[in-house]
Amino acid sequence: MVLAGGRTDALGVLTAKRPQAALPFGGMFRVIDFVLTNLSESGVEKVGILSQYKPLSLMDHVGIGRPWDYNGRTRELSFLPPYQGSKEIDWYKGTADAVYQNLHFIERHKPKDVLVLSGDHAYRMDYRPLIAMHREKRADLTMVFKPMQVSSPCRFGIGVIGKNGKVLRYFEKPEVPESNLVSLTIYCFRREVLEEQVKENARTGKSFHIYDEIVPRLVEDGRVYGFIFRRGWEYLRPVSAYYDAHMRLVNCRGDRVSMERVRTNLEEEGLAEAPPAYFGWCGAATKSFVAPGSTVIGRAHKSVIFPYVRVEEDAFVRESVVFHRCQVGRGARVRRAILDKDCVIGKGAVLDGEDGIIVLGKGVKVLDGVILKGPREVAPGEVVG
Amino acid sequence: MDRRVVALILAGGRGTRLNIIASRRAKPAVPFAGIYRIIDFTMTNVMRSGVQHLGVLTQYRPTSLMEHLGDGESWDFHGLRTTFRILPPQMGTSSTDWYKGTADAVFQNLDFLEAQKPDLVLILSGDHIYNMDYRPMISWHLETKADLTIAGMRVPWEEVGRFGTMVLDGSLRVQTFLEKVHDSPSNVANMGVYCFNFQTLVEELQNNCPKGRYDFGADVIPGMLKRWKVVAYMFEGYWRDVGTLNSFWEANQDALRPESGLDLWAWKVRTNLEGRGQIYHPPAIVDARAKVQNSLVSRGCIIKGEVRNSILSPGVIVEREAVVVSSVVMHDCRIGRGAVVARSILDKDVTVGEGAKIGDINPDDKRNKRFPSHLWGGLVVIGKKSEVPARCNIGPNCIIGAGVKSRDMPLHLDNGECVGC
Repeated sequence: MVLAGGRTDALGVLTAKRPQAALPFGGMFRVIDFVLTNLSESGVEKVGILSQYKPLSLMDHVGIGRPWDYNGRTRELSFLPPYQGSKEIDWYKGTADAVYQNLHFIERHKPKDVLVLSGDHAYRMDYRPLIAMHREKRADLTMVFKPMQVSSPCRFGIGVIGKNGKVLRYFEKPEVPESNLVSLTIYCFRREVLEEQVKENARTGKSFHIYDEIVPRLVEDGRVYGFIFRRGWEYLRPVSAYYDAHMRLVNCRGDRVSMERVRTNLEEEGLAEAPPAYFGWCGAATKSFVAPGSTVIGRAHKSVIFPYVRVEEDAFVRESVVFHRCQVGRGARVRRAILDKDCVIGKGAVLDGEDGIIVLGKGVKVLDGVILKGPREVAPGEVVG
Repeated sequence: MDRRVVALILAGGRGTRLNIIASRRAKPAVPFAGIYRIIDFTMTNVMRSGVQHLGVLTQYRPTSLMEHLGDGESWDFHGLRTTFRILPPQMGTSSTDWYKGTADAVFQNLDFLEAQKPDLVLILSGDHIYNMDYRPMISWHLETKADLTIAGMRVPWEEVGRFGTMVLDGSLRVQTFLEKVHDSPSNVANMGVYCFNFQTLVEELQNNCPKGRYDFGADVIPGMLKRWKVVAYMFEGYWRDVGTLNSFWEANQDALRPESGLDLWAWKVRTNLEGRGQIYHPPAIVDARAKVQNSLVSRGCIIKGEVRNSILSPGVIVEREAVVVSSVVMHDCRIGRGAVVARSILDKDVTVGEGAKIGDINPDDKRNKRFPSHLWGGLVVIGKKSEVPARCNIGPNCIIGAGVKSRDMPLHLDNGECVGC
């Protein structure tokens, strides 16, 4: 069960019209591609995607799951949007409630265990060792932790794990974290336990969130084990985290997400018709990711360039993330900025995010010669002049 | 009135003059401009012209071609209203033969055509790089009430000898049809794009093929000019027969300059992206010390050295201090640290050892010694999966065959030598 429905304000204009799971990431992917690739490569055959907030771009992108091999007789990918039943329970109130309202999907397939994942995070992981540990320990729930630098107060869930791998204590967003093990909200539940817990939660819950109400309770009463994951995992929230994740990619530094073998839907965004990236005579693209269909005539440094972007002569894009089809005009300077799709930066314009990132919503137009200083966020479609 | 059109692509030919890059695959399956194969251009033309029924005739080493075409879905051949069929040679009751020529290949597939009940049959070659909407040609065919319309294009007079040419009258009716002669009175080249009335085609094939006249250009069409109305349709634009290694290299270079007429951005050529790990590759990565100038760089490439005037297919790695100039480098090649690759065509999976030097940046007037008609002008060609050892020095006009191991390579190759071919 992939939770991909959440609305978030933390990403501002970037999630004005899309859920976080549909956010472009890494030069030509969307965030959800990572989890779907993980599932496909881990051999998980049935996937339900719980979507709620503006799911259209996500549904277009995922389709019936073909890019991840979710076609054929034995493999299935279903979108599970909110629905009205006999009781008007309508919108998902939280992650636990979303699973509760879709128990019919789980019952139909009668699996032994259920993976409950977030589609909002970027990471590459094989779930098979997790499932193997879960079964070996005969756990009710096995959850994934990553040792990370944590601050006080902490914005993640923190676990304390005993020698045998059992989760001894768990705290959601503690003031003072007791360990450095951060919960990645990757859960492997025994099916019966999950069913029982979400049914109970539907009766007694307040926040209706798994991390908030089900996990702490199971840690006290049940068999909960912790699986340690040490590789790149990106939370991508707030905007600074999303930006930093890209800078880790271009700098090849820290625990960055591997992009090897990540699959995406190539039928989208004209990717199927994109020629290779073209580099012009200036020859000054360095430490950057450049997607097919793009043309870099000017300079690019430490930047992630998505498909069909044009960086014109004498323009310089630096430490920036530039989404599909943006045009950076002749002589323009873009530094420490995130440009959503279809932005147009006029000739000689300057976007200077030195003192704080600049984020342009989809289709923003910055007129010739205009100077923008960060931090700054511009709403989709606005003209800055 | 809408006519039912069926297209046939002749994709069986052996590209002899493409030497080692077409010795183990059919010429239409030769990779081109980074991510494409030559046949993609014709396939895209058929798709964009709205022709919904297509057969592809294969013969010479068709495996990679068939894998690439798949069920035609990459070119929107799916659903109930379209037909896509690979047509390999087959044994019949009377003949058990290979295709003996272009006309014979079509003749042997008359069953397929008859089942389609077409009004018009487009016969196309899978060997050419061009972007053409066939609909205006079909309109012209109907307007002139022609029995056969042949697409023609004016070529420079000095190149006339490379093409079949057509002498036309004022209304573009074909008067004479000449196969590759140097003193042709016309510079209108036959592009190998034919639009036949179905009944005319059937009658002509039945008259010619059983009598041993197997080729459209050499046998069938010259005999049709009196009896039928054969007209030319003049095409203007980019069209290349990439039949030689030199023309293949030049056409790849054209892809770097949209003003050459070969504009990949405007043409929106479709290819099968599922082939050769394309779907698994991240965007191209340029490293801190990279210098990439006037080049096409595909997904999955990692550039740490210098690349200039070159076309890189997916998965190519250029290590630090390596220099790739004016070259075509196919899938998953690795260019070792400090190596120089100039004016070269590297087939897939070639590894170039550290400090090796291949070819010369400047053109040259010599030819390959064994294949003087295949390779000249200073190009170097290296076959699939070959290994160039570290510090090896390969002169211009050399050909290294496919799968040559590093231990079998001399450390120095003079201008025009061959190894393993």
